Amino acid sequence: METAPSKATQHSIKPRQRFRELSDAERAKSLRETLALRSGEEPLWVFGYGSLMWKPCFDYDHVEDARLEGHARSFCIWTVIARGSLENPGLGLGLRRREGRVGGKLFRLSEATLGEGLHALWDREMLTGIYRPHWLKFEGEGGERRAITFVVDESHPQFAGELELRSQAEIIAAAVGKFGRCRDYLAETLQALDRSGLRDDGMGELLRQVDLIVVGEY
Amino acid sequence: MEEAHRSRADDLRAYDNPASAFGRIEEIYQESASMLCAGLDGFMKKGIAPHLEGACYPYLGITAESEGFTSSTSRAYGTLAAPGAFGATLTRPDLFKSYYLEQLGHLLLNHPGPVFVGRSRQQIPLPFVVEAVENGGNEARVRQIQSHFPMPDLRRIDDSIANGTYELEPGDPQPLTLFGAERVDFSLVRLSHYTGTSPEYFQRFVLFTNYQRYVDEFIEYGLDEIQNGDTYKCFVGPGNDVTHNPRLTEKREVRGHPSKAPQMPAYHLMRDKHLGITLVNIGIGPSNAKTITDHLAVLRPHCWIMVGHCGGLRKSQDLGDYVLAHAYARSDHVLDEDLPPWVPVPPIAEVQVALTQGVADICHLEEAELKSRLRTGTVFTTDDRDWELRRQDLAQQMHYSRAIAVDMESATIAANGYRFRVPYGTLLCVSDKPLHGELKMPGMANRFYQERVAQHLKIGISTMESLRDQGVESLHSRKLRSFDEPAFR
Repeated sequence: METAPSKATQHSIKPRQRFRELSDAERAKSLRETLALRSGEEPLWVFGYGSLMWKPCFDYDHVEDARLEGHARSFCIWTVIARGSLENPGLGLGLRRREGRVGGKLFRLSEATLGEGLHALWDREMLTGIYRPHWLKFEGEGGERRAITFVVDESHPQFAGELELRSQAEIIAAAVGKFGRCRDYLAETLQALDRSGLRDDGMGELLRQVDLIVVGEY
Repeated sequence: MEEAHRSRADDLRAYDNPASAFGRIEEIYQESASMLCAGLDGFMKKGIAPHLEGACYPYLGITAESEGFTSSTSRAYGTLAAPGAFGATLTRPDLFKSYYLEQLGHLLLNHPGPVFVGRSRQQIPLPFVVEAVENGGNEARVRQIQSHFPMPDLRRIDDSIANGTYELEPGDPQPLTLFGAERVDFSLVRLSHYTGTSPEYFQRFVLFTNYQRYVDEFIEYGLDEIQNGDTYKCFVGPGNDVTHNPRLTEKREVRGHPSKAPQMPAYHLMRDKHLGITLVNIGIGPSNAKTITDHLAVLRPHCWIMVGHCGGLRKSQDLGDYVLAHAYARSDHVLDEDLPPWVPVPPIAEVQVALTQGVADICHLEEAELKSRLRTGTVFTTDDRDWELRRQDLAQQMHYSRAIAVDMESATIAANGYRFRVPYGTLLCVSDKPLHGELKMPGMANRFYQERVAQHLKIGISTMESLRDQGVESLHSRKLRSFDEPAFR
């Protein structure tokens, strides 16, 4: 059984309306601008740290574990469609500039379907503009790799700000969206990390708290 | 930007996203097909004359401005050759979904959009939507249908874009694809007729053979993969006889039988996005080889390879040795009007390497032994099965060309691959040595030959799998493309 968020979370400013979606033309422009920074014939790598790890939307011919310095994975963006609703908004993952390192997966996209794959990726990650595509350097299994990843724009209205772990757990426990429960999104991400031996203790604790709320023990 | 396409289409809408553009292409095609079906139904049941003005192929166009124009150099296709307007009619989005999305993806990555999708003024011929309509009644009825419904018009169906001989009316967009929609539909009907299998089953890696035993082995291999493997989702034979892989789908088998034996039966070991393997037994001769490749080309395969038998022209060859064609003497003549015989048909490096590796792996041959059992050289393809009766004439040509093998299909398949930008290759097995007294006779084969024959098809399959696994991108070579190439692969 799911419970509604308690009053403890009411202080965070929940979204009251859907966020403006970028037009196809804006999205295509962002993609072309990002690609303009690709150097020569370098293979195109994309770093996934959330649902891309377990549900990529492009063809790839290689995948490996990787780490990124100076960034952290965080449930810091509102989702009112995919894993939440306007009544019960959910939280999605974003990459924030922080001390420390974050683990995830690097995908080398198949060249034959590159255009189609990148458009699908931009449709998914650049729906509203809460993320900014960045080329960053990662520590992959084959050494240093340059790849595209999506970093949160903290000035965007969809940014949920700094939320206590408990508040995050309450929001996630209550949210359900077009693609299912927000809790399952967290669990799938954690499983993908565990399968690769990429520890994320904060995420494990968050899931534990969400599940306690869901079964009514909190 | 849109104006440039108004001479070809109505109701144009702009899209910056491949999936949205494809959605509109699908919608237009389905509306047109439904109009034809409803029109035919009304005509047959109530004699109502159909209204089919809008039952047309979808149109796709793009205009590239001169300012800031660049052609992408990252791959041999997917980019416009010059600024200007480009357009094409498209068909069967159900069949070409992965292909259209892939090409639209490249186009919108390499050039600022939008693309325009609209309704072309080219009506879809009824037989390309409703199968077997011509068998649906008596002669008079058929004639009535023909006068009320659009029918294929050969004046519009040709290979002028592929051959580079098209002429544009002033203001017409340049071609965006190698084939217009009607040319594609024409081939889809022919493919079904000649192979006994529907076009949707064809895969993008194609093996051709002229030897029934390879068909038997392919069936055995295919069914074993379906029963025990998890790579291929189903196996399909003539009559659209489908065996599903129970581990990959819950679909039930569909037992089909061809109404009559097809001339060039095809077998398909299927994977998603058509990335499995098709084998076609093309029988003997360049005429069949041209026919099948003329039609298969519209499905835009990643590679086609001939695995057949040949006459060895060197004394040092043994029966059962392999021949890897590095060049072709085109004495098949069937393509002379489409591709002059003086045009060299270059080998595709990736295919040559994969075939060589396939022989080494399957036959467990090391370098020195590999060289003696696998000869690389020119294959002489003739259109005369009894060329031996003209030995005097042909021996001179074989001398000029330094040919090491003679057959009746390889050069045709390679030349048509070149013509249609489909990567090609040839690996033959020596079955006789006509210049050295070992003519093809029943029962002459030795044990060594038998063993090599058994390995030959496996080499073809293994080559296709390795080409697929290493990524198809590099296969689509620039050497198959011209300076004014259409953007769609």
